[in-house]
Amino acid sequence: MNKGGQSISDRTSCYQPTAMGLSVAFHLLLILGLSVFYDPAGSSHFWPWVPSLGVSFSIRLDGLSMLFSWLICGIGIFVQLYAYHYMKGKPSSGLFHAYLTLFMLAMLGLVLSGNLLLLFIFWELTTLTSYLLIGFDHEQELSRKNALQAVLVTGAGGLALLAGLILLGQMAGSYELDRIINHHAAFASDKRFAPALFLILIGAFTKSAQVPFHFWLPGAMSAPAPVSAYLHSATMVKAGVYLLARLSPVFSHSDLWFWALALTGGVTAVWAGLLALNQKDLKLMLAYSTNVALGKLIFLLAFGSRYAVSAALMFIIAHAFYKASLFMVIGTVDKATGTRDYNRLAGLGRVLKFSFIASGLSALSKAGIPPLPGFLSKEYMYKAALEASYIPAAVLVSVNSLMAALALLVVVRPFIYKPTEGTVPATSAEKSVFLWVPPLCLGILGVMATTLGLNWINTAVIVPAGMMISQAPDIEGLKLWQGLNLPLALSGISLLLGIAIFVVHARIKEVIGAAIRLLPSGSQCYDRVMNWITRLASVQTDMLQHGRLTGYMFVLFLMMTLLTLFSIPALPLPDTLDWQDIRFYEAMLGAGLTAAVIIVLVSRSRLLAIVSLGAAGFITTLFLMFYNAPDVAKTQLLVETLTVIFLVMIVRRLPKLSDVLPHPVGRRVLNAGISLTIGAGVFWTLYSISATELDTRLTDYFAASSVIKAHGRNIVNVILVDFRALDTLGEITVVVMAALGASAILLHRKRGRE
Amino acid sequence: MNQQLPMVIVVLPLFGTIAGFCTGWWARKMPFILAIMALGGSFTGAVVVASGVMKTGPLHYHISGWIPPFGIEYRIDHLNALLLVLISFLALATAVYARSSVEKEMPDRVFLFWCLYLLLITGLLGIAVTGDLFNLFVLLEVASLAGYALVAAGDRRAAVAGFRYLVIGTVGACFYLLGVGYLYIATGTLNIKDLAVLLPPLYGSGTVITAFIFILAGLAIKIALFPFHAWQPDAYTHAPSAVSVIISTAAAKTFTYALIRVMFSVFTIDFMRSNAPMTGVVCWTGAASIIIGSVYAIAQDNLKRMLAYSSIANVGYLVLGIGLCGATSLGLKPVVVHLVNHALIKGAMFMAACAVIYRQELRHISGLQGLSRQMPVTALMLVLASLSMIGLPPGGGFVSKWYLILASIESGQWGFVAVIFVSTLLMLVYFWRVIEMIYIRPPLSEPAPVTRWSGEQPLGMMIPCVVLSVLSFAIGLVWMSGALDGLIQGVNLNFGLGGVP
Repeated sequence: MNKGGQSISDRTSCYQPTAMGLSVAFHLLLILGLSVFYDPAGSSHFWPWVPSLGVSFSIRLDGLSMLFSWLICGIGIFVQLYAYHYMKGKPSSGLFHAYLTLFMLAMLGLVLSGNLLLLFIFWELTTLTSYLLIGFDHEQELSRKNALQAVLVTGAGGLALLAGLILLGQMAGSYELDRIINHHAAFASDKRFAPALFLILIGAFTKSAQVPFHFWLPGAMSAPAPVSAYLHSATMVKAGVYLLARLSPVFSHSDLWFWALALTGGVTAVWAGLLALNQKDLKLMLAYSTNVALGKLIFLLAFGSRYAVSAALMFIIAHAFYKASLFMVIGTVDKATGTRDYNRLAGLGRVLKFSFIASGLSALSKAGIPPLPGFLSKEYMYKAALEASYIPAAVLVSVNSLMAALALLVVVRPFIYKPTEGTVPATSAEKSVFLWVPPLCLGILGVMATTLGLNWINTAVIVPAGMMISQAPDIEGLKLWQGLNLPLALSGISLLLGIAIFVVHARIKEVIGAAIRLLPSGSQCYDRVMNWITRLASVQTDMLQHGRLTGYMFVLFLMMTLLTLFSIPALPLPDTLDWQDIRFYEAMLGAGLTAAVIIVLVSRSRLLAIVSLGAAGFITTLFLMFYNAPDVAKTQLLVETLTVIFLVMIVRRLPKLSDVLPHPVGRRVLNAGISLTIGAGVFWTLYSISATELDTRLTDYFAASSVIKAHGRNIVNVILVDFRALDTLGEITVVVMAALGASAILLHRKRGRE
Repeated sequence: MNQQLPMVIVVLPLFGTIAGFCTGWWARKMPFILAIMALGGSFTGAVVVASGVMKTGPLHYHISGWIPPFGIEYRIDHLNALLLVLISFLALATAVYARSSVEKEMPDRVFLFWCLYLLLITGLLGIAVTGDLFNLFVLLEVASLAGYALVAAGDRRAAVAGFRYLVIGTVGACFYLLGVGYLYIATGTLNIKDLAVLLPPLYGSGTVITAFIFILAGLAIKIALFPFHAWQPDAYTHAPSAVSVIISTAAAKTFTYALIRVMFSVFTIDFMRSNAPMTGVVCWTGAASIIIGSVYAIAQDNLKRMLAYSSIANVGYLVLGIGLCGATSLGLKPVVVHLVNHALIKGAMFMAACAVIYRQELRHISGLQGLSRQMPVTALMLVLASLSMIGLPPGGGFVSKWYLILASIESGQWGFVAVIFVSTLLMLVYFWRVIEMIYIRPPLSEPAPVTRWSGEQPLGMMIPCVVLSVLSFAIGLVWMSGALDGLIQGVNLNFGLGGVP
């Protein structure tokens, strides 16, 4: 760290309390403001902003966006508080709070947008701001690589989403969400429907880290703990889920929607659950379990029935609380012990008491112990699944048992098991209230939500939001006690299975590990593609940008030849030449010209080539003389003379021709072909045009008015200095410039030598 | 005075050259002051002319009173007006920027630089106003020759780069001239408006098609479209800083303008439609340029060279837009939007990149580690412009891509949507490397202790750089706000584009 940097970072560090205080106050203000304006029936506010693009600054505040807004701002407050101590002393920690707030705003904008394009703009802004956060203290090569990987995957998804949204907007004739949702029946038969859905799904799946794009999320979790807590719980990755929930009324009646969501979500949930079991790093374990949660949400959205929707909404709430809390706890554990290695942690419960309580509460919710929110959502998801068939129920049971096992893994061993020789002793990190209050509060809130506030949650969020998603009129509030029924039994089964998995974890871990190694990993595919592109790039550069002028010219003229092929069909066939018409001197000059050119081409001596080139030029001049163009002939003569003089002047400085390697024969033949084609083309076009009468309007005018109007008898002169004086001025400028340019180079050379 | 403005705009830099040449021998600072005055005058004039065109429609100016097609005509419609403002603005900004960089890079030839620079601008402004094909050639050569000489005045390898540029560029000029010659033989006129009237009966003629091809190829060389781009990376890389900025922005865009002018004013959209395969070739050449340019950039570690390659890709965007314009209701909107956006973005990037070379002698991306601490403002500007280029909404690049995607979808060409996507991803890869180096990687070693700002570029360079970077992002909002929709409609109306295809 240099001095300058130090001073800057010191400055922002001492602003940290202020930054945090302001951020928290801002969050609170937003929560209050939004809550005041919130009307469960939904309200839209509309300001036309960019009429040309169809973007309006329209805000849509209904149950769904309110739910997300509360989570974003609410969890945001705790994250800001937690970050205060976590980031303390790090360079630019004041800035960190600002970044967090920016990200929160982008996220809030996303869920409040009532216009698809506005939504897209915020979508991309969340990508950007989240990488400001993730990249905050990146020092390792691997994590940088992962950051790029995450940017690329979500960036690609963003592009696909953009295309999908454009198609959707075109189908609806508007980018306003209201309009699109109200008119969705009209475009079910549109042929753009399926591509639009497909592209939007890609966008949502990449953002919400679904298989096969899931690999970026665990990769990107090298972020500081507060960031992970925020991104993985209430924000970022939920954006995809939010988008799908939002657009669900438009697409949910199609089969493609159901199968794509059900398969992707199901596969992601199970697969990520297995991957999570295989991790050593507690944070990675949690990261993969986020994938599980997202998969489960997508899976539920596929069904879209009233139970599924209620379950999904409840799960979003539950997950936000327990995941944020758990990530914070892991962050504290990391602070206290310096490691997150599952095998090296034990007995922390005695040192980190509050963290232990927080994680315990969160894990209970995660595992789905009644009457916690996790349990409640599980009940309803089983209900929804059983409505459909036994297969989704089976999927959910396995996913939930994996979740339960993961919850146990995160808490039981690190906090409860007795420390052994291999474990790392913990220092007390809980001196600062900021490190334990936020996770504890989140844990407690997560537990209390269903026991104390269920009614409120039902009326304020679940019902209105559910109406937005499924548009079913029969959405009803969740009930804590459903009676003894099959879903309750399934809940019990998954809990027991989870415990069983936890018990045999060490053994099945090896099996899972072996199975994973057999399958291609997304990360490896990504690496391979990147390598391939880089190699392609170098090969292409070597091939096309080799630095040899002859090669460049070759490509240039080759393209020219190919392009002229276009005009050939339009050219008239040349009439047979009337050989009688050619005069003797013309034939002689033609022969001379040809001979001179051939000598230039085959000569192995530079001097001879220059002389022949000169000869060719002079013969051309003669042609011009014969065809009554003395002015042009004079000019040409001067040009040719000067050319020869210059060439002779520099010929001694050039390397010997014998030192220059000639092109291989094939290339020379090709070169000859190209030049002959161009020559023939020019000849042909000129010949075909010489038959047509030249329009003499201009010449006539010049002849008629050069004396009367321009007062000059030499028409050529008059044209040069009067009718088209500007061209002449330009040409003079060119000459001056050549001199200036030459002196610019030469002056430099001279000085350089001195 | 107002009536003479079109001429004044062009001639002011020329006078600036002469005055600078005369005074530069004894007053070292004079050429710079004169240049700023001349360019400031041109810029003001351009703004006045442009607002006039916006109000009253196209403007004609007959040089020395000779009526067209006999004399040379200046004709300014919406597109030229926009271009005049753009060129003179960029020229002014670059001139401000150039002061320090030229002092450092060629202290012994400062006034020569200013003479050549002003001549370059004269040529560019002239191209933008002229309504005559041959006059356009002359000015093309004025601008190009100034370009060759300016490039050759750069670093150690610049002479070779300049020479290559000269050779290839001259071939391009020859192609163009040949094409104009053919057109003259076919119609007997050189005036653009006149040609547009006389040509339609000849659209099927082989000569006219050949002429079109020659002009197209000639200008394709000038704008460095793949596969005519070979001169460009070296020229952009080795040129002096200010020259890299101006030829990659004002010059490149002016040549693109010339291409549009020839394609849609001399030949018209009807010609393009009657030669559908040609339109296909234009589109696919653009698409190839996009992909190939982006792939080049991936493998490139030299920052300036990477920007040069990225320019090839961006020229591809423009040409793709030109090819598609007949098939969509957007007309030339994507092209005009990207023309302006890319000029601003590339200008900002080259300014920032050259400032890094100016201060730190860092030419390679891999050496930019910790730049955010040594040159915080420059680094931020580089990143801001990169983000705009990649297409982060609501920046300029986003709007460009948005319209291009829309145009592709509207014309039913999904292949091009894919091309834009792939290129954006590639762009993300190669610009992310820069962002990562600047912001994410820690500095390699302990740099020498510096006080704040001491590592930063001088204010004279920083101001134009900041202005362009911020504009490159803010322009997106301007486009989206619809403030310039009237201009675009005017452009489309003049070319008979933008209706229902």
